[in-house]
Amino acid sequence: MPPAIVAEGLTKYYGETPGIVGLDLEVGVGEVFGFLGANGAGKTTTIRTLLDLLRPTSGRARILGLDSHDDAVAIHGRIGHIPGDVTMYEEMTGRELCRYFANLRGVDTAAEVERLAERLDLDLDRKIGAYSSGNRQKVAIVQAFMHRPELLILDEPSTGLDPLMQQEFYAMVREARDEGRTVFLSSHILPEVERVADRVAVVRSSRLVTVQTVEGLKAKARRHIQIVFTSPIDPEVFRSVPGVQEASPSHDGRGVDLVVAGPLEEVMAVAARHGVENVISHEGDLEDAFLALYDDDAS
Amino acid sequence: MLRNVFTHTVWRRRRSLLGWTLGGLALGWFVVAFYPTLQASAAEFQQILERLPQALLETMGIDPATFATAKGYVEAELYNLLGPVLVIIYAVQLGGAAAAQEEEDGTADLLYTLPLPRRSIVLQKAAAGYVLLAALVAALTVTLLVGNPVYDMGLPVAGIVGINVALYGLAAIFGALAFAISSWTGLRGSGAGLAGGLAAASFVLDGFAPIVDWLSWGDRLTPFDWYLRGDPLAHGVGGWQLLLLGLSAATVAVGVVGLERRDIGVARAFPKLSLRRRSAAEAGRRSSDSWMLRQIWSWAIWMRRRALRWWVVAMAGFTALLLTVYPSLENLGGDQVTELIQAYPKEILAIFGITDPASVLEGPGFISSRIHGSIGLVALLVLGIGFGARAVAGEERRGTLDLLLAEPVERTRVVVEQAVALVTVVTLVVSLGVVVPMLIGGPAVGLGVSAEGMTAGNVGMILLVSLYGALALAVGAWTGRHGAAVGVATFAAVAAHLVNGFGAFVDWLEPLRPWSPFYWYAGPKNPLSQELGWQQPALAAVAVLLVVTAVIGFRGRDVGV
Repeated sequence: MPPAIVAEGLTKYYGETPGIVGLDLEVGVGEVFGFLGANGAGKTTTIRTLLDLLRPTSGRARILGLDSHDDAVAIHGRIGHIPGDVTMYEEMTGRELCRYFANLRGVDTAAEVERLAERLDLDLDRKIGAYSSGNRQKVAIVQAFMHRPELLILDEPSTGLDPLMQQEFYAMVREARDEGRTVFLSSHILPEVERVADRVAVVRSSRLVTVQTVEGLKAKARRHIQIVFTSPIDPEVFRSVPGVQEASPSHDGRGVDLVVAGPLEEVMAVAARHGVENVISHEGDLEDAFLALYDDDAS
Repeated sequence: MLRNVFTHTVWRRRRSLLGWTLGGLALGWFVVAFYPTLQASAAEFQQILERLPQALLETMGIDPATFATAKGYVEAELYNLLGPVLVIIYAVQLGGAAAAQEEEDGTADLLYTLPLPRRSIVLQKAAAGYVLLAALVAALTVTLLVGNPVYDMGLPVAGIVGINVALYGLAAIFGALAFAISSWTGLRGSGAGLAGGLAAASFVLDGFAPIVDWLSWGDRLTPFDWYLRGDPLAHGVGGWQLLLLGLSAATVAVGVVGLERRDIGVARAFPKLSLRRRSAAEAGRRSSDSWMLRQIWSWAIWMRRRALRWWVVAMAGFTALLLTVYPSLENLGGDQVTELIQAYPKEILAIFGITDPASVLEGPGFISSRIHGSIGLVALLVLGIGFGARAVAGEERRGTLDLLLAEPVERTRVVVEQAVALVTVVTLVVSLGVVVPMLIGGPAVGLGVSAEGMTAGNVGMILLVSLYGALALAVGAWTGRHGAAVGVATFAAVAAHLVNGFGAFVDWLEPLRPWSPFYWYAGPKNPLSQELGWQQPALAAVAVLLVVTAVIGFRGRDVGV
């Protein structure tokens, strides 16, 4: 079976402005693949090029073994897509929109639409114009999943969903993978990708920085943690612990601010000896993760 | 309706189609219903018309041999200007929308990632455009088919069908052109606007080619000329009409090729009208610290600065063309014509928007009847009504109004400043596109427009257009619906125009005539021979009243519901 997505030197320029440059990528069948990057890094350009909405300046892509441009229609029949900036026909209800797209796809998805809507707690009979942005996103999710496509290409799919619905959505993604389907999803939030993806590609300034397994990425990610102790503590204690890159005092001398690369095991072991009152973890923000990766890149 | 892209596209446009069709029915019936009035003095007309110079009549689309007959009347009234204006505006809108509406709306990414070839999607949209256009032309056809026996007009049914097929073909050409331009560029508005501009240019070329030597080559090149060739009202559909349809289809094919090759959602830059090239950095600096971003009214103009430049250039080009053509008209017959026209019943010419027939060959009347009374005014009304509708309802539809209203600004200020922007835009286009060219070129060709007439006509036109723009603004402010704003204002403008024109000789309309803003504007004379008086303040007062109405409506309403 051919890989779900293969990009070979995929490049898209808008005039002289680069969208994505020289992207080489392979996504296997049955994989949840995260596509991570800051705003404007080239994620949407890449996705829209894979979908034949944009034509590559050079390079090419194969989706499910087919050429992304020459076989676009056949590919579109086998994928589901959530655009990054979802706008839909405001005067239609969610149900009408799904029925319309099902008709255009030539499939009957009524039962599946019902099931998905129930799962996402979505009222299908209101006009899309009257939906909140979260509900609009749910419609976008339903129309992408309703025909049970082999490959889901999702551009920042959890935008606007509340945490509960995000959980539900990640569960749907995992189920799709468990059924042997492939999910390619972009995000600018590391924890989101960590939660569901098997492997992650990181793009920055239109170029691919790295492709890693989530474990690999986690191992490299730098995190910011604050540890508050029951009594004053000297940050010097942590400076020699493996992985610690910075240690500075906080909380009137009772706490330390740490920047740690890699696992926290040793840090915690040291901290435990001094009577921990509280640990505040700033969920690996992207900037930190990237800094680690870029450092890597430079060395 | 949800079966495919074609049915969905038609379904989405059902409301606006209803509006356009009602407009078509109203226009068609209005013209047909006045046939008996004309018939009553047919012999007299015939006599007078036969003595008028052929060339003059040609510019007015009148064939003296048949004008007083049903055929000549219908051709001159419905198929010379008003019918084509109606269907061409609809057609270019449909064409631009078929190619690029979904990109503008942001729904294109969903649509074009469905398992359908782009060609199929866009051809279905084009087909929907053809069907919608056919529905509008069918409305006109129906008025004639019904009026024909009712008023004993004696038109051949094949001819009625023929001339409407011709009209359909004419509109389809420009609709297809809009489609092709929008397909290649991804710009809906530019496609519609450019195609509409070419339609106007084609109309002008067709009108002047017979009387202006250096334009005579152009006659055969314009679709407006092909459209009535072979006399379709007498002989039914002929080769020329089929040629129009064929060319339209070919143009659509060219558009499809463009759309298939293009990046979706990445509009190709439309050529900018600027005198020198600026570097991107320089342009960014200029726009970000521009004084135009300091107020809502100047921002509203700034947002439309590119389109505005094109409007000015198009209007100025049109005025300049009229001025260069004017000297040729003087050779048409001078005194004899004037004398004849004095005897000419004003009523009939009033329908053409010529309220002062004696002046048709004089500078003020000539310019008026082309700019202030017809194409120029129609174009400006499109601009003004479009601006007014977009000012509140359009922003609301795009979702940008919430952002604006979240700023510490009074709603009153938003409406008032948008109204100021409207008047400023119209004033700019009229000043730079009409007044300046007339001031420069007028004396050179001996146009002879008095200072008072110049002021009254142009100020009147600015105020009239602002009035209908303000009406669109008010409807939009009350309802939040862009389509309703455009529809109501357009309908009101057309109705007022017809009341003024026909009110001149139809008894039951006469009492209404003084209430028509078009009467205050054009009155019994042509606009450029008007005097300064109560009329201009009256127009201004109504416009202000409409803005006040808009403020009241907007203050009390839920936004975005």
